[in-house]
Amino acid sequence: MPLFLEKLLAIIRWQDVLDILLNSYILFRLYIILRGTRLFLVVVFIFVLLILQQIVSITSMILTHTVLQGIAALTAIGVLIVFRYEIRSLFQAKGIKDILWHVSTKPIVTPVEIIAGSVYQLARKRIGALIVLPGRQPVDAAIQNSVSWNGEVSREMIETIFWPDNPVHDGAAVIQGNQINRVAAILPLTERSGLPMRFGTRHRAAIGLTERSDALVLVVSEERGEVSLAHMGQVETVKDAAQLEKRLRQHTGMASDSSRRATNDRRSAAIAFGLSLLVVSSVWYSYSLGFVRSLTTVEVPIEFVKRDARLEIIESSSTSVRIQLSGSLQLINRLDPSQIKVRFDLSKAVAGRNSLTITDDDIILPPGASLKKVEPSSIDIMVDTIGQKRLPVQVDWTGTLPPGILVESVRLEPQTVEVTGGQLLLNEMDTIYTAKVPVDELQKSDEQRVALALVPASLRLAPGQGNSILITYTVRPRQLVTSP
Amino acid sequence: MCFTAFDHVPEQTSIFHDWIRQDKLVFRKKLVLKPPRWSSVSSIQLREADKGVWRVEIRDADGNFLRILRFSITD
Repeated sequence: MPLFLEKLLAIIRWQDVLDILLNSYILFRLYIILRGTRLFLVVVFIFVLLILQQIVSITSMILTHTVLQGIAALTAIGVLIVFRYEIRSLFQAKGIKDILWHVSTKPIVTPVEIIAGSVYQLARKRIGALIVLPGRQPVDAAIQNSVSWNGEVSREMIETIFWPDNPVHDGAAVIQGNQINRVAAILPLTERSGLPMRFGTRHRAAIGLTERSDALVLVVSEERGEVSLAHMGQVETVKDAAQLEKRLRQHTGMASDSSRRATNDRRSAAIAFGLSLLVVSSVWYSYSLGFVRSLTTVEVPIEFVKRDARLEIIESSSTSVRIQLSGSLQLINRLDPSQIKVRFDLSKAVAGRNSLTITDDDIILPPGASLKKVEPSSIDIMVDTIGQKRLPVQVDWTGTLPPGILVESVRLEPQTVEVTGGQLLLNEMDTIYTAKVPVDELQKSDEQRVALALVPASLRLAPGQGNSILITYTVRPRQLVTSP
Repeated sequence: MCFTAFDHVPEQTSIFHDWIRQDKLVFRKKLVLKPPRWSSVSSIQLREADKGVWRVEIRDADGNFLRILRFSITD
């Protein structure tokens, strides 16, 4: 299994899968809502800006990061100001269904019959007209001084726009889909010489725009009542509405089969969702495993392994170590301290004091985490062979004996006990003591049972040895010596 | 105070009083024994911090145990 997949499976949870799917869908919906609008490019720009910001943040380019932050903030404000009408119309035009899940496979149909019919109606009435139908290339940069219109295409609307008494009749109307977006648009004139004398300003403007874009421009001559069509810098006269309709269908792409178009739309939506999934997964992956890193410190208990069964750890300078880890933000946030182990191999330890340096091999970390620091970097342990020794028992009396009382004798049962522990320790021990026994209430001879104090904790009683001692004591009144 | 008395001391020799608190040797006193009988005593000045379990090990000149006395210093 590839390493990255192994890391991924180690940290991914069902919440992450949901997280990725949800955000992919949000990104996909943004694309569906904004595609074909000017806002789409701006959103892409902001997105690229955010990615750049992350990259410079990781590479610690402080100045660039600050500048990019400023640009992103200004862009966001600029978008709200410049595109306020587009944003408003977006929410006005689309219902909640369109925003949340509807994927329109029905294209916005340009009403070519209405346009062709209107154009010939204008020609018959000898009313001049100039209509722009943009192709794939934008025409915004080439058009000047237009008036925003945003009205649905209809025969009456077209005729009204070009009615000679209408203030906006001079200039071109721009039709996109089924909308007349702009009117009174000033088109760039062609600089070509040698054009037929019958071509007026409208024809020159139509040629000028089609030289600069793939738009199709319809020209209605008010002198001759003729309808001409300009495309790619060429002008041709169109004889009737049927021929014009055919040319318009070809230009708007409506000539192709509608079912094939719907299939293409569905395919492009599927590709868009796939790309959204890919982008969101990449961002999630980079946060989880890669770029955004964090630090944490964990206190981990030390485990000693492969210890010789005859050896006993008598003493250790430390029972735990503090480990500073570095890893992805997500990994550090979800870190379970039980995943971290510090294991010392004691196979080479000898009886006596051993100094062990902590190496990377002694530390087991979760996948994706890397070790930054260990404190302490070494520990001292005292290891000893296990031995047995019989030791006499001594009572550890404490407190204050009542006045006038004397402890005459004390007897212990048993008097000695067998203990097990490190041989070095046992060599230094000559006595084992009981737990503290208070003498404050010793009023009469009696007996009591007390436990043994096994110090240090590694000391144990030999098997079969009870951990209590019976103390039988005799007390008597203290005799006061008086002078005669 | 630890008092030891020896009857029939064949020749001059020495003994040791080892004062031990909780397995740690606190004080060692060498005492000379002279024929034919001899008594000797050793003592230490106790402080507040000396409370606890004590023993005095009495050894001969060769370090052999002769007797051990166990006691506690209480309040």
